[in-house]
Amino acid sequence: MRTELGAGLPGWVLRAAVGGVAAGVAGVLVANGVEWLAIVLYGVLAAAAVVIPASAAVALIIAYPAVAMVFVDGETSWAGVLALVVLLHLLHVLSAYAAIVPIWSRIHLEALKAPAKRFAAVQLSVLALAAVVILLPGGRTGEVVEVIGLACALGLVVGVVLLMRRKS
Amino acid sequence: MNRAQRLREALTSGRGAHWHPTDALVRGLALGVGMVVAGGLAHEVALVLFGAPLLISTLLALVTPVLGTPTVRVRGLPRTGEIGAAKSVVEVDPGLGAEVMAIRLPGVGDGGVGPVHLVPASAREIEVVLRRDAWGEGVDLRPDHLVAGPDALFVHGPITAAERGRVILPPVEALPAGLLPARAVGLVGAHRARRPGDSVELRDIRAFQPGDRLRRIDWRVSLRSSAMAGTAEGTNLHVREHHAEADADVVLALDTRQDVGAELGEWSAPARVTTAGPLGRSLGEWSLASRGTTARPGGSLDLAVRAAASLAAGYLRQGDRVSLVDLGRPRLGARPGVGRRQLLRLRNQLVVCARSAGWAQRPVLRPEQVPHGALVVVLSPFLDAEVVELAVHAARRGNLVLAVDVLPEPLRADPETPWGVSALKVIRMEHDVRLQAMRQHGVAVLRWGAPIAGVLREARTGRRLHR
Repeated sequence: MRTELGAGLPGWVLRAAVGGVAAGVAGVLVANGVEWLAIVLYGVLAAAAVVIPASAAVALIIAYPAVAMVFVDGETSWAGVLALVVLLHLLHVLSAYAAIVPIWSRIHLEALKAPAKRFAAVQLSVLALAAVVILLPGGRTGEVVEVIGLACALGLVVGVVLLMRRKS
Repeated sequence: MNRAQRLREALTSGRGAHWHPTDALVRGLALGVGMVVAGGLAHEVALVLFGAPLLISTLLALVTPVLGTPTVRVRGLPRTGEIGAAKSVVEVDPGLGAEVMAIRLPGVGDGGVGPVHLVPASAREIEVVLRRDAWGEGVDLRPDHLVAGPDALFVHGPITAAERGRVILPPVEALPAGLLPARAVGLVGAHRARRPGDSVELRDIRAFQPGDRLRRIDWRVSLRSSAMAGTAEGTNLHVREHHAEADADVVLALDTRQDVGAELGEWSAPARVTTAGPLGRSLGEWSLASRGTTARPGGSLDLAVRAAASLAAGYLRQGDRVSLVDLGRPRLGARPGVGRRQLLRLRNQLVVCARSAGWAQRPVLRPEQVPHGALVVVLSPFLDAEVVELAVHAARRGNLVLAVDVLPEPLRADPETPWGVSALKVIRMEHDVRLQAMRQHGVAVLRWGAPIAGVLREARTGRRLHR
């Protein structure tokens, strides 16, 4: 397929998007009662992630809100959780693409079509899972079920490691 | 693998021309698995939901095969070109499973190798517009690339590609009417030569010699001379001798020793501000370091090369033979020739000469480089006495010499020194004295852009009177 190279968007748009999504995450955290000091620290990490998207700062700005939401005092809202499900995944994907292009590059939106479709598919499946979780009645899980769940998680890890070994 | 290669491999963490995982893969796996397992252990559904998208997208990337070696090939890039835009096609084979590609290509309206573009890997042929606004050698394309799989979790590269460049030929400006002499008798144009030949122009009538063609016998003169001598018919034959027709020779002598602009303050600093090189570098080093342009734009060398290309085109169009002599490097000239191919050759050679500019201190014009009776066009800013002596010596050897002054106008004094204006006055006066000295020695002097024909006519008349 022959394509003509258009003007495209400036490369810093991806990093700006990372910053914007991080700001959205910070807003969700504030709405759920996370302390301001923690939010400032999160801002510093987000700034580092914007400057160096291939750094460990990205992992921190994804893990930090997740842990903060879980261990925050008081009841967490499902709306906040669902928003973070979308935003944290978006942070992960945007940072991955921002890390492979220089800041003064040009981004052609056609390149992001396939990732956007996959993102939407993954989010739909996870949000469907969340809906099931919300709709299911709460209560203590039996020990057997927990052991089976842990075994499944362990199998998942083993499967991933085997897949990675096959790749390399 | 030797030690240097092993060291390079260790420093670059195995990155390069093979598929390898990125930080995003490690992040997706660690956070995805970690949050799902931790959520399960701590009975926190929210943690499981946070980790699930990361884990799922990472697993999707892992199960998608990314194979093969991506290749990038440039097609349709000629070695030479003209100023302006040209098109080329970059063929891409991204390999199996590739989703996006970051490739360095010239953008819309950009010159040089351009920025990195993030394009879909499905684009197999990318049409790029190459734009160069200055003549000279330069790099047009360097398609460095990196190919990424789904979510950029696996990448191939980055690969630094080979540079692909073109030689942009100096532009040929259409000379206004009257700039070139229509026919300077005996010197340029479609000319009669001194030697006998086959033209229709009568050269002499002389006695018949063995080897003369019978059809050249002038019977009327032969009969009359026989009658006057009282000899028998046929014993006092005369033949008509004609001039030969020869192409005129024009020698373009390019002074590549200096390249100066209109700003006097920049004369002592050959490196441009943008290149940020150390002061005192030779002009040759500067011109090689400078990308996309061989000479200082608007400088004396730029003007001289443009003038030489335009003059060559004008004289070659008249059917003359034109050669090129680099006064700074005599080996870099071009032999006399005619036709469109000679124009192409000369324009190419002008770029080569400008690339090697600033090599010599003294100008050299050997007598054997100037054919007898040739018009010598010296293109120089005339900033030293050596080139003036050279032009005068050429005139004394019997050639008509045309000195084209390519010093940029108007010169501007260096504002950073109190002596700037005084230095400008001294340079200006010395320059005027040199031009006047050449005029006094029969050299036709003009600034580039002034009509040549009248100046040449005056110089020729002056030479005849002088003789």
